[in-house]
Amino acid sequence: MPSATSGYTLVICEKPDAARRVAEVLSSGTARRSSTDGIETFRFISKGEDFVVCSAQGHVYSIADPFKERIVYPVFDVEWYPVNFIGKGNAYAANRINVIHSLATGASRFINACDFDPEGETIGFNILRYACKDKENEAFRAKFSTLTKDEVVSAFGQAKCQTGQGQARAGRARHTIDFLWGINLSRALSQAMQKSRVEREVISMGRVQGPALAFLANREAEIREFVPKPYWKISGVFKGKGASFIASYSKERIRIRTEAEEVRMDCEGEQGVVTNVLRYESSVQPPPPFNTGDLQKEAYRTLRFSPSRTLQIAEKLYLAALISYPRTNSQNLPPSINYPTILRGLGRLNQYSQAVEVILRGAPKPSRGPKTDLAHPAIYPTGEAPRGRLGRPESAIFDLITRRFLATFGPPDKRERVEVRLTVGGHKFMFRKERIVRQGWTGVYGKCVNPDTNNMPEIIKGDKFRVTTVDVTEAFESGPTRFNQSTLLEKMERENIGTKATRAETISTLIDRGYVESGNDMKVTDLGLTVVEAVEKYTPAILTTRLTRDVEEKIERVEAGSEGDADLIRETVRVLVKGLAALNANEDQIGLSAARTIAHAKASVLGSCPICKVGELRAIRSMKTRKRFVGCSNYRLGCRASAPLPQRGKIETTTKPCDDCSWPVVLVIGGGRPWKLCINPSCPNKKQRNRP
Amino acid sequence: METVYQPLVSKQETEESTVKCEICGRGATTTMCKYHEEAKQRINYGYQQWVKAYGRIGMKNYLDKVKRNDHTGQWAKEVAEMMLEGLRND
Repeated sequence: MPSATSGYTLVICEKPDAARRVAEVLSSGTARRSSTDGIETFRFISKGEDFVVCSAQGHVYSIADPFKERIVYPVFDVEWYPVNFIGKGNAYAANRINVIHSLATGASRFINACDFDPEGETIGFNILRYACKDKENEAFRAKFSTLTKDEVVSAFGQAKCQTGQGQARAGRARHTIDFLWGINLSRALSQAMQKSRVEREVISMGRVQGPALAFLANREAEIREFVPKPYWKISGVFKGKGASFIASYSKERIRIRTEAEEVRMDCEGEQGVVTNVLRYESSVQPPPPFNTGDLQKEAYRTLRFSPSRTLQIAEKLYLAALISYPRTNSQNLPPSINYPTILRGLGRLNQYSQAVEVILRGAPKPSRGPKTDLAHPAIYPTGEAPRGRLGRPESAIFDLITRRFLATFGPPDKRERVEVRLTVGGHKFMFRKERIVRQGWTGVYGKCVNPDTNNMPEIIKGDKFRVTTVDVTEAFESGPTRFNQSTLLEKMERENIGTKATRAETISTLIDRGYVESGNDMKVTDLGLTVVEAVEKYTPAILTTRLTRDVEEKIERVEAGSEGDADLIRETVRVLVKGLAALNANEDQIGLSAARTIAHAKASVLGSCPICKVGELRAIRSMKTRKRFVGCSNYRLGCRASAPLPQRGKIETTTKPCDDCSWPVVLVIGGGRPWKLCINPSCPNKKQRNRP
Repeated sequence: METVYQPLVSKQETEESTVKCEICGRGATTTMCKYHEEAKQRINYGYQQWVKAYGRIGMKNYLDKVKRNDHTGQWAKEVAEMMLEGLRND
């Protein structure tokens, strides 16, 4: 660690990787690295000025209840603490704070170089206030969106003393409000549940978590209550002119079976006449560049990466100076990022060289989206080549971002849609095809679904085709679909609840708490439904998006400096108190209903019952013998499907049922290697194996 | 930060619901919880639509088809099964 001599500038970065990169760039590789208690610092002289660069590790200060042991509510006397005081796993923060504190005593100037967004501002503000002893108002601010040499050098050259601290105040207010809501609601619910001696480790509820869970629970109820209606689809095979094609009946869904049968009898074997051929040309514009939400949604759609994983990977790429700052709302790329330089950089990578060459032939101008962000532009590759081999996930996200960036410069796709209308004895049929006439941006951005480009026969008005067969297919309306992580993220964005930085984390919390099953579809568990039911019944305001959205809007006003943070906190606490009072007054009722449903929910679902085809097979623990076994949820109504289970190890469900008997297959974890087990004791596969 | 304290309201006397849903054991006001009750209403409403669609279909046949349909929701399946059981016992 450098000695605490006066006169140096202390630079505070948000993460160790960022500190390393900033030091490397500002010192042109001459920075001396030292380490104290495992904490890296960098010292160098640049343009005659002595610099020391250190870093936080995300949030090293957080809001906490000063009385750790108390489990009462309401709690409003909360304070900021070093995170090592809060959790056992946060010991790393103590060393880091000590090192920063020691460096601060010898510094004459401070530069906050944390990420330029409310979270970064909060991290920098807290370190400057607590570890550096009230230096938050005199510190300079270096603002950058990429860790490229040019941008970092320019950001430090233009670093200014901050006024107002709007983002930091907004960030701190958000942390305080979220903590107060989270701790009080969670304690209120947990206490209510404990009234009925329900064993649950954590029952949590938060300001954003509540409305998000309510979206899922409402959708889940719709799905589980759904009764399908039948309808019939008609299609005919038309032959003639040496070709054949399938045309659909003009009415997509026929609600009465006899009506569908009549169409079949009227048309089969008859001749159809082309009454019209319509051709539409359309131009499909390139998509806007990625903001955080768009990247998370697209990564989920194309790669099945969860939003939180995508953000983690994007942050890694940012710290490696390969992409710009990934937490942004903006869908715009300003010319100041210097498109030609970035494009030329990407052109040096084989896989993009051809696309880049085409773009650079003209004057590159990217497409734009409606969303903006004052702090950062949309996400874009910096044009720097990866310094080593990227891991597969990093490589996939980097490729997605780069291709999207290149696509924004591409020309529109020209597409042609042909619609052929035919009449058969008074009944109308239609045949549609779409093809790409001239490929534009989809050439480089192959992640989008390309339309069907199959050849179609040349058809003109008056052509005649024989209807060889008419198919009448019975179908049923499908119910609403479950949210997946991507569609939930989109819904949260649309409803303006949470922030670009916290939405993914909220989704992960819902899964961690057992309110939602992990997997592609976010199926709400009985526990999740119970929690929503309890809150909805006694304090519905907590689940409304309006309340959460109001808070978000007010936080934005704090950020802009038009509203005070203390007023906002006071106002939201007032709403919270009402909700807590209602929960407190109804603890017994909540506990009772929770006991019933959670007891039901605790029997975890292994899969659908192959015997009655109605119920679900669940892992149940016998109250009498304390042994676990499999039973059907439809037991009350007569299904006696049951099976023994291994008594040791953890049992996890798998999505695929047994190929031989359709019973669920579980994964037994514990002891040696995890093993798969078909829970059917009479599975033909087992019998075959046991045969001598 | 300013401490905000407001005493909580006194506990109201709560009337415990002792009725359990016949299907899932949740608290209920009738024989079923609100979820299964809603599913039952949908099943009854659906019957009219199925009769219109197929021309003629008996209640037992309808419930059996609903129960076996992949698109039917879990709670609706459970209610259909219970209604079928009732019809078998009649």
